[in-house]
Amino acid sequence: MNFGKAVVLAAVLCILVASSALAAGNAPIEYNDVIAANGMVAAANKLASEAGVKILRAGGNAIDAAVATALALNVVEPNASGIGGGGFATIRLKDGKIYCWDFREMAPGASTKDMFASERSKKEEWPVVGGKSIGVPGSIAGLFTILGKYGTMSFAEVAEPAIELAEKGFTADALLVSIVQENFEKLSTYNPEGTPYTPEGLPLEVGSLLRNPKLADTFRLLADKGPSAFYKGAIGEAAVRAVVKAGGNMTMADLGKYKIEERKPMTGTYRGYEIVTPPPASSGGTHVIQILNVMENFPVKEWGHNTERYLHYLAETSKMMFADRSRYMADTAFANVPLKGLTSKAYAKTLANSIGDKANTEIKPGDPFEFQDGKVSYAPAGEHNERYSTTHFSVLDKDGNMVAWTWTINYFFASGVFVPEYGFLLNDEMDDFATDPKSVNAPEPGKRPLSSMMPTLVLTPNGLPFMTLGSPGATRIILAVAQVIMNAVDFGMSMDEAIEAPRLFNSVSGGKAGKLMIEAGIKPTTLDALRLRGHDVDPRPKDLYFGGAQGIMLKGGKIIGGADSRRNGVAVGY
Amino acid sequence: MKKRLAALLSLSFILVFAHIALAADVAITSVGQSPDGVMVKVLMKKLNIEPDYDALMKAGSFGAQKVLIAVVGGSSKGLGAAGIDKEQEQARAIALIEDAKSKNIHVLVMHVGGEGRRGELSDLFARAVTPLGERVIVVKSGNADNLFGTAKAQNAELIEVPNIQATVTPLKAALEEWGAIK
Repeated sequence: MNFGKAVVLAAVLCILVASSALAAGNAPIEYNDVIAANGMVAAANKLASEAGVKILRAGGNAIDAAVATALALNVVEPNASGIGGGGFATIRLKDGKIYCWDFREMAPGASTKDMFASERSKKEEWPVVGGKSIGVPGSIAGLFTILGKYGTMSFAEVAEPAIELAEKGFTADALLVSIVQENFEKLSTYNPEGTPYTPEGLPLEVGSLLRNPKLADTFRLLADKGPSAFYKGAIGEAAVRAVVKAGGNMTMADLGKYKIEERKPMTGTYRGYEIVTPPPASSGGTHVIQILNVMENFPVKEWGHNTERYLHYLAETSKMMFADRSRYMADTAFANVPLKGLTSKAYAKTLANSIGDKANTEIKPGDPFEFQDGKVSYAPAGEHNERYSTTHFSVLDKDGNMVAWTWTINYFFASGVFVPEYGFLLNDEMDDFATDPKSVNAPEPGKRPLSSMMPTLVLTPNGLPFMTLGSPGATRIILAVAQVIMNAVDFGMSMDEAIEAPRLFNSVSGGKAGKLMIEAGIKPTTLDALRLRGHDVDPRPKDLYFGGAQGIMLKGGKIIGGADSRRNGVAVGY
Repeated sequence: MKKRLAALLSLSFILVFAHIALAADVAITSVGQSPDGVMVKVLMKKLNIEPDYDALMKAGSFGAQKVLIAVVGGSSKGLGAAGIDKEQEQARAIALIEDAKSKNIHVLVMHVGGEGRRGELSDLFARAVTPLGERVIVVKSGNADNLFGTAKAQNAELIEVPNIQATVTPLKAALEEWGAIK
């Protein structure tokens, strides 16, 4: 096949209807796989996917394309991610070597364990909006480190599509405008003079041209001066000024101390497939392995997809996982997290055996320390409020290099604090710390807040690339990714089918089971049967609450992309 | 004891009169707890008016205001943050508007969020308060089905504008007519 034909193939859209769902009696799953021969980017915005593919076409590898996609997302999906935030990336190179990078934000030096414990903090929402909510951004360190180590192009080259988008502008769609409107109050409070998203101090309108030339200039400056332009230079100084003006306490010394971390990825297996995912400060990777380890004990394929029995066992597993997460998860630099126990198949077996026919309403954490060396006294991690913000994208190139990248500025439009001179928003990631000063996840100088982000790679039992995927959605990320993996492995679904299938979510708060959130598309009699088991079923519409997964699958020699309709996800291949 | 009572009474009078004296001519409240009320507050700056903005303003809290602007727009997030449900919000808004009318305060209903700020929740609030408005200003894309036209009182004027910026002109006209802008 010549290059031209490959391009044509990339445009082929397969519109299919899943027979498996029909067999289960649920509503048919509508999905749109994108199939390509040479490479693909699946991101939450078509323009960003196209930016990445432009770099692939120009001869860049998956890592070059990933950085291009990330920068483009900063422009076209500014509410969810950007250089003022942080994230994680999991990378598998064509030689089979795997790398995991943690460029999560760090708490500034002035942070204290009790900084969010007061009634005033609660009333004024210090962890969520304004200067005190802002952690030291890690994104720029992540972009440069990853590109420098594994990319083949310069920052200037990979930034070119994003610079063009920021400079020429793009049309604001209804989703972006509605998110601006919903977050208008904080944008207006901290930027009364306006931002590119609130021109003249009011929300931009659907169909209007959104330009951000200052951000284009920032990308150019970074290309010219490197990451020191932020961590030691003018961009950082402007960011610190914005933080302080908004009531925070961050210094250039804090920026200078920022450290990106290379992590040893968490690995597990699910029915022979290898799962590769980030360790803490992401909790997601550990807990998705835990969920899959528990579910591996059950014949879910035999039970059928999204049948009452399947959903019951998955909901019970989810609750036990969240009880453990609240009890044990934190930054491993500050706490002894029982990672080995939590991802132990023996521990999972005990959890699987504890599931009965009825829904548990009181959920206690297990004891994963029993499944690893030693036991320690432990202060609960507590709960914190992650949102459905964030964004994930996946990249795969013709050589088999794979990237799974999830990054965020936390809440949509973050802290509300915009750096006007350089055109970007600053995160509100301090909200991912616990407010309880006794928690292992309480803020401390240099600490990374707990996250659920988990850019994940799945390899075949032979160790070959199978999927690169991830999702935004706060704690729903864990369930979203686990369900997509099971959909593909157990039920043989294609990439987009696995993504579009209805999901469940069931958390725990204060030891009490939360509602069993069930997404639209599952038949009412199934919901009734779940109620009979004692679940407090809360049917919900299909929307971004349940995450916005993007994934790429290698199957039968084809690259198959899926992007979540719960967001504006689009996979683009060539 | 009598002296203390007298002092307390004096203090109360001072506080009451201070409140009245400090109150702006225009009060803005949300009906549905979306941030759209803040957008109208920003628009007021263009008219050099500093309104009293209270998203949860309750009946009985008026001072010397001449106009109440009720900005319709439902937000589950906003209701959740305020710790109230849609029924409580609806009851608060209706009681507030009825209180305003009993005090001869003009009531202007606005919907500035366009098509994106329509839906089950927003429509519930729109139907509840639009009939109580003396005048209704809406961004046209939010009234494609003429919800506000059918819900408004018979003698109330409905003004459609193409976008939020364009609400300034009819807003200014209303405030001038009602004595809130000299």
